[in-house]
Amino acid sequence: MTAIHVDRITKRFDPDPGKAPTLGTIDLAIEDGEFVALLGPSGCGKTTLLRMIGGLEQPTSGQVLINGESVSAASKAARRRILASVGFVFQEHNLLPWRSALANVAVPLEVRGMARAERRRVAAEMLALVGLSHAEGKLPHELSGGMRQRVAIARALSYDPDILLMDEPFGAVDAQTRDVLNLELQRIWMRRRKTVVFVTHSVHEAVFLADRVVVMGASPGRVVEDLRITTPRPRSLEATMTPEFLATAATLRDFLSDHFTPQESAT
Amino acid sequence: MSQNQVVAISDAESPVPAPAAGRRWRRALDRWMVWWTTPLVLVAIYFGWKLYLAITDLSPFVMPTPEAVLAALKEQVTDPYIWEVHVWATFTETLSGLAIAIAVGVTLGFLIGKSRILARILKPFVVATQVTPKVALAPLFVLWFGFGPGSKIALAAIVSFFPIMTNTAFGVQSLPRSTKEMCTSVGASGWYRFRKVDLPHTLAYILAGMEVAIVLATIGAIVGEYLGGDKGLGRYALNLQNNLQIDMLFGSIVLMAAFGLVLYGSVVALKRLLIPWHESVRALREEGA
Ligand SMILES: Nc1ncnc2c1ncn2[C@@H]1O[C@H](COP(=O)(O)OP(=O)(O)OP(=O)(O)O)[C@@H](O)[C@H]1O
Ligand SMILES: [Mg+2]
Repeated sequence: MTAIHVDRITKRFDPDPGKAPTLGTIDLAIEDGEFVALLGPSGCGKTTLLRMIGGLEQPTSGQVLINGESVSAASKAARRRILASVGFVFQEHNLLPWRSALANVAVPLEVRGMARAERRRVAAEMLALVGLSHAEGKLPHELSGGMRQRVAIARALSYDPDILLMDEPFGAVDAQTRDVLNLELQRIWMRRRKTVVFVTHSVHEAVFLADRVVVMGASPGRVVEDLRITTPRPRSLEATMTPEFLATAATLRDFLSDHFTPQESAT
Repeated sequence: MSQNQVVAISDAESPVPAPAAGRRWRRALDRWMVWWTTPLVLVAIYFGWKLYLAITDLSPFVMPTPEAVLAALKEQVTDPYIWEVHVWATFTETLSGLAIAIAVGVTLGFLIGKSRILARILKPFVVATQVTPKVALAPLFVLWFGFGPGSKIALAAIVSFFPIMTNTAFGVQSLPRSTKEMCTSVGASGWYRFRKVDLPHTLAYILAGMEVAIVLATIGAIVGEYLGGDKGLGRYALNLQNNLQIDMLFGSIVLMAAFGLVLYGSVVALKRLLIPWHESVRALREEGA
């Protein structure tokens, strides 16, 4: 079944019709349980696309369907119901600075009216899942960048959404930690089988994590390549050294550099 | 196998190491510095004061000796009447005024911060209350609220609500867009956002406003006392002036300064207690102050 259907969306921030829209026509169907990586040059509209899927931004034309229901056309109440099954991990962690790691993870549960004891139990379980049981009582400023990002992931997972939208969640962490977080994300995904849309700048990360890599080009933002990655799971870090992996990565890099300069490919 | 690696790195990400011993020493020195610089400065003031008197030969009715002021102050501090009547009166007026200022200031601040239309409607009136010299309102307050504490409380409230209101409004508006979007993405209702996000976020700003407001409220109460009534530190100082008890007058001024300082210190302490997570409080803590 199609979990996310991006139905001929365009997005224009600047009303000047002489300029190319931020996003040209984008048509994308993402299946249930699929892990999709979104790759593309800076400014091509990856975040904008993700925000429209997550209901944080309205498309200029077209619509986004989540499990067959239109988010874009829905009323505020209906939108809230539909988006209850969507979790968003932002580029910045967006934790509340006055709340402990545990209490931050519990925010969505609190919003859903879960009882206090139950909330604590679930939040603790989620922190354990991201390997942060020892940091339950810490405030965000007492955590490292990578730890904060993991708390944010735990928060997005806490209410068990079917769909997880992640915008460069590991952009701010060092390469080693990033490898570890990637392994961890794969482990979590294999256990919970969510539909994931994962924005990244790293070709390596995209090929390692995804079932499918969607490459975008800029001016206007559009899909220029849609590639399946069939490497069996669980993938280990060693698997990223194999010739197939490297060949796939090279192909993607070519696509990216072909569409690197926005002016080059202007309509 | 991925599990093992995860555990290994999680442990490596341990908290920040403790500061080196040398730095800790210097920090302790910095911290205790005020305890010996303050007496030094006081001694310098004492001699400067004596010297000035010796050169100018001023009448003690204009400028008493430091010894006379100290003696007067000692007498005042040990006089229970001063505490029970004057200090207590000023204290209750100041805090009642501040309480009203907080209630009004926070409410208006939230309204102005949340609604651009309300901000447009309310702003001119709020600014008008601020550009009007409040002391000019004092006789009117006496007329309306009498010579009792009412007029002083009103004056304390009106001079101190403005910083609370502007800070609250600024705090509400400064909630990062990303935090709002996080609320949207987890499906938080407006009521939840107000209680669990806007309020704690804005609390830091409200407290910053209170730091200024408590000082203003003290001034408002004391000015109110000068203009009428029979109790409070302001009234007391006025009596002393009328009786030409200049040494006692100096002593009462020191009392008022100490009074203001204690109230201000309480707000700072409250800040540390209520918003330990906030950047400003953390910076203070790290300085060891
Ligand atoms: N709210 C906005 N108002 C006006 N223009 C915007 C807005 N948000 C994004 N844009 C523009 O839309 C384009 C795409 O932005 P977007 O953030 O989606 O890019 P991105 O692909 O996520 O880039 P990056 O990889 O650097 O994060 C940019 O040119 C940006 O200037
Ligand atoms: Mg982006």
